[in-house]
Amino acid sequence: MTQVVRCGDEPRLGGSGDGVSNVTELCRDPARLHQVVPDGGPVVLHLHPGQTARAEVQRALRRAGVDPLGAQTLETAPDIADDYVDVALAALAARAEAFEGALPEQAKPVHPREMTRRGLLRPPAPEYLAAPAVDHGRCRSVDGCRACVDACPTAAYRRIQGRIVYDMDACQPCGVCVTTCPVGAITNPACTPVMLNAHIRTLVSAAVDPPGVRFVCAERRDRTPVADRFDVEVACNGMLTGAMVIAALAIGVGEVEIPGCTDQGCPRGLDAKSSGAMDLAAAALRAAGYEIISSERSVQPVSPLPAAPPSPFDREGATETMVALFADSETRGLDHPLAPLGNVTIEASACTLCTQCAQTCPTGALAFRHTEGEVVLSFDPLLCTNCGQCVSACPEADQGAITLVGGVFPNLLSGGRQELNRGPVLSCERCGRPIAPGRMMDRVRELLGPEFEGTMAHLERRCLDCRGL
Amino acid sequence: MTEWAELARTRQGLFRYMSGALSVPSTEHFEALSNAYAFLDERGLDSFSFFLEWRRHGDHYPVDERDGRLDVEYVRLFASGVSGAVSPPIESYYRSPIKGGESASFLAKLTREYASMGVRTVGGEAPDHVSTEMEVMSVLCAREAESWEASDQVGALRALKQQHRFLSSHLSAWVPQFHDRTLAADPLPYYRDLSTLTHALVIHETHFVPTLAKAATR
Repeated sequence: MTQVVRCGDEPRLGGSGDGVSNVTELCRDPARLHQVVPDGGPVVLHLHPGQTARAEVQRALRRAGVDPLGAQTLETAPDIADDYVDVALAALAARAEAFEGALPEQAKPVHPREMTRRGLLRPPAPEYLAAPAVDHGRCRSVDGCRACVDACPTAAYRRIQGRIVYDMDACQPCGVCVTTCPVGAITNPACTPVMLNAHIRTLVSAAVDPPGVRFVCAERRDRTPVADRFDVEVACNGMLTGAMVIAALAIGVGEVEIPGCTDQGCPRGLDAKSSGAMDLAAAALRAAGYEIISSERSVQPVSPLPAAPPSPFDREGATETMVALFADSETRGLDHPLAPLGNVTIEASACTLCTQCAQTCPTGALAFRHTEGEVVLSFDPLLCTNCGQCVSACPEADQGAITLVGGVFPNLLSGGRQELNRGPVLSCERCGRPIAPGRMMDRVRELLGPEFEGTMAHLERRCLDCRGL
Repeated sequence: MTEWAELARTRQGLFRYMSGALSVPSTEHFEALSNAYAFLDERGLDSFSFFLEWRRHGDHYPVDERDGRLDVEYVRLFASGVSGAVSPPIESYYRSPIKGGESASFLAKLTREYASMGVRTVGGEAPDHVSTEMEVMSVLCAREAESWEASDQVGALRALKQQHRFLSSHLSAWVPQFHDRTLAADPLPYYRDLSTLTHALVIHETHFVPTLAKAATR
């Protein structure tokens, strides 16, 4: 069970129940945590705002056998109502319990930006940020996917010889890679879909009325709780997607807000991404026929949404949430560049059926198969994540061979896998095995010019294995 | 500069400890390690992210050296066997898998690299054994500490740069594979937790040393 540890003398009379301990002057001396958490386990700290250095809290948690990346902290002023605190603590306890552990490579050491005079004589204690890690078993970079490389605002990812290489020193853990990866191969241990789900579901079940939720950046330290909103911490608001906003509303949240980080905007320059997420959520709700009250930074549905799927914050959950939203809708759907779904169309006259798009597609939305003397390219809109890797991979993209439109299109979603293009495949005159699509060879001939006609004729007759025979 | 020197001395001791823990166990081995562990445990290691792995490893002390099972396990995992060690703790095994000349050229290059840093290995394990490489890190940390003690910031930063280069071009390039291989061999808990600590320490230090150098130059 989660240990909730409060700084102060007064035992709580609220409804937090067992597992709540009070430690006198915990904010001043976090090492006292050891008195009440001797054996590790999930922990939530309830501290006074802005009094305790993060490095000191992390150190005390480690000494108590707790991984600081999984521990949760609530900082509230004394005048905040008890029932608010109880709901917030219960939700953070659920989030702490959903922590699945962190790898050594997911702890990024940083030293505080502000150097004290004492720091000149003494090395400052490091604090650790939760950093992403790539599951190379799930990553599809070997097929050509480079979605994280393209999305990372600090160039922390490179693709070298088909493998994603991550540079922790360059990374400022914002989580954009986590929500961009089409196959969910990148995780941030402090902000997993499971933790967000547990946190928000508990808020909804513990609060009397549908609660308001404010997504807040983990790096924003000066936040003050607002009476009608519960904070849900994410690595950076730039990692949020429109599907995540709708997921929170579908769970039962009354209103979602994505505030700006500071008056100067997001220090990582990701304001456009967070406002884009809110824009998508509002546009999708309107397109699906729901009445909403919205602003640039918040959205509130007037009528209830369809129930959220069991895990709405992962990639599959995002698709399910959007599909459910439009299930009873009679509209044509939604066009939006940030949608978690998309539609691919092929211009048959420009496509050579080289199948690069299908080979690169990380989710298998685009696929190809060989039939009797033909290659067939097909598309399943339910698997598409609008990642754009197919367009990047297409050698004929500038000829308009492939088009990807982000959006939710109910009429397509119900249609299953559909054929996009087909064409003949040349067969080896010796062994009969396929050589290459005929249109692709035509395109190669066109690019090489007439002086290679003899070579082309040879390449079109025999497969790679039979050419030397 | 005293506390910067103290931190360097703690890291020197930590790498020295790891070098000892990863070398062949002897009669006095575990008692000496246990004493060293108790000493280091009081030196503020809880500031670092590998502290949980450090504590898990420390839970095995005191080790009963008369048991003898750990000696046998060390040999099975890291030293030899009918078909060789299960998880060789040597860099060339992972980074130059073609045995023979290739491995010799790797070792020669590493020895030249040590010489360029003013380090020479004498006897004991091979130059690319994990125990030797930990000892080299310990020497580099000692240099950093001496520089801080002499108020020589330039020398300390040079030592930190050498540490970073050695960690990123050697230890972090193969210890993760070594760790995976050790875990796959179903080791006794003592060596399982030692391998986990080694991995966590190497990953931590690879990222920590540059941030330390950055903080020292402010």
